[in-house]
Amino acid sequence: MVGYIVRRLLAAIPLVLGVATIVFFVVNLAPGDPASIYSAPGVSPQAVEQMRQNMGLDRPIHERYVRWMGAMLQGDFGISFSRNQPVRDVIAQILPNTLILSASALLLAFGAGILIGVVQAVRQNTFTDGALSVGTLFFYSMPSFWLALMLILIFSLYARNVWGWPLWLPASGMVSVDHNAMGPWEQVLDRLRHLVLPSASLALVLAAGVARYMRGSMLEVIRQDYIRTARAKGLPERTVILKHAVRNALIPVVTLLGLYLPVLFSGTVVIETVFAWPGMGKLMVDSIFQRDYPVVMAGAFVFAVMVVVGNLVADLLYAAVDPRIRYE
Amino acid sequence: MALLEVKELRTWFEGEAGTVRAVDGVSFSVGEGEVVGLVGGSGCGKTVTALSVLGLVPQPPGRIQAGSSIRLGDLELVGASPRELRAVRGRRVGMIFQEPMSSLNPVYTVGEQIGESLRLHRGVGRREARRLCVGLLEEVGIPEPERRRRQYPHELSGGMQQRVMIAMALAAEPELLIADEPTTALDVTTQAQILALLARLRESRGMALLLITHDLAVVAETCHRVLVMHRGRIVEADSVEAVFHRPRHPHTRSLLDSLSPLKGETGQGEADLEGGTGDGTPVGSDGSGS
Repeated sequence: MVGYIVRRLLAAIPLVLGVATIVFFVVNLAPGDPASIYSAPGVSPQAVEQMRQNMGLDRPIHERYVRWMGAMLQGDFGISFSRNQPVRDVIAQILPNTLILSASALLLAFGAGILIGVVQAVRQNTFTDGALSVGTLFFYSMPSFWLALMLILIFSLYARNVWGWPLWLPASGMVSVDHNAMGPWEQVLDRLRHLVLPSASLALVLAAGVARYMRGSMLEVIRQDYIRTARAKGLPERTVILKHAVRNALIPVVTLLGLYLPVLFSGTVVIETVFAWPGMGKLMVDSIFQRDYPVVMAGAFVFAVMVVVGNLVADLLYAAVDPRIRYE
Repeated sequence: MALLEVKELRTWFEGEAGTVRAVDGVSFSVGEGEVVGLVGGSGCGKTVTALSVLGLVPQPPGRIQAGSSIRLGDLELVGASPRELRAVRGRRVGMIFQEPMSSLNPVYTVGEQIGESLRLHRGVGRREARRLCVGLLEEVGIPEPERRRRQYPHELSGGMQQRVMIAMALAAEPELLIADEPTTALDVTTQAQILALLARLRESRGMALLLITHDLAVVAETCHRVLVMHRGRIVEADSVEAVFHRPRHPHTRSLLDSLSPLKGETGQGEADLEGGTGDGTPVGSDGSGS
């Protein structure tokens, strides 16, 4: 098991380095000049040129590549052009925010999706099944940024200003302006309130996919002989479904986890921008606009590592739900 | 008094192509401690009959028709509430199936699956269930029960899996064990062992056995009485000797001939057996399976 994990991680090294290389060339060959952010009225062209030299941008691209890769392998991602602090510190500060958002979105997506799928399968071809099918298809076919805007419109804007609900949800940032003045429990509540809309925007679309998958998987499992055995034992239907069917139906759904991670991370880029969530996605977008090459490259690298690790976790979970799978 | 009394059982399946009368007016009884063989070709309604007894026919599309009666002792099972049926399933009537591999849940250990029955029907705790489980595994002839208990079904051979199924069915000490083609999926040597085990357990526990099979050889070795089923009906019911020596129904004769293809005196071969089991009509030959 440990040997398997180590081998998988070693095998991922060329993949991650390949991703880093591609990102390096895409970013560096793209039009735009990072030093241009310094060009302003009153700044001489010589000074801008001096900045360009300081950033090492006057060097040929292959030389920059070798230097960047060499430094990165030692854990040095360079200095952010726009923030003037080490990229590593910038990411260390911001990565947890994205992890919180992604993890809660994943939990919500799989929790809700599995629940809906099971209900649909148990009530196959009833009104409940049909209504949930239409509902999940609705969210499945919806772009998450649009869903995000609609959620803001309903739960933030209208709920607060038009309908006057006491329970409206904030539409931007991770905490309220007066967060530091709150008591400890209020602070937790404040963070949770800020988390609801962005994670729901990400999760609903994914949950719809999980639900459709889970429904199919459950219907398949319910027909199996061992379900008949469980009934023949005299187990109550609830135990038959929740204990004997669900665990088996989860096996194919777990593989979705690995498939959904890249979707989720690219989703955060959009959703964090919409909700002004200070995470990796928003950092990437801001850095691209500011031609902050080191941050963009390091960010892409971090996303690649997260996808690789996430896929490994999905494969390990696969073995956890299915005892027939053993990793040697 | 009969332990199980089935009268005019009709289990039909309604599909788009029409109604399949898988079981169409079957009556029989099984006495206490008696071994009854239910024989017939594939698709004749044997399995559906067995599933009907425990209310395990998927409905829809299946439906036990009005006028059918299945009595277990004093209890009428047709139309019984889910709660009443659950109290019978596993506890008073145990059941084992044709494919032990697919009949065991692949994601739970053998011990967990047997223990589940013990906890449910005997109301014992986890620790006591573990102890009883080891005893049951020993009783069905599984070596190293303490180790096997912790294994998953896929780690056992087909014969072992069927033994586990039997242990599970015995957990609540049922009065009747329904064995639906328990040896069909196993190789010949294992078949003989499982049959011997069933015979031994039946004797030591004094339970009744309804043995469903397409193989008359199996019936000859184990049963007191035989019911021959054909196209959803029972066409012959008699003692083993009578059925073997004086078969009355042509279908019984073709089943007997299929036993020893070398006999050949009557000139009946496989072609006749095909004709005997009769396909073409939806009744018996279609759907529902055995």
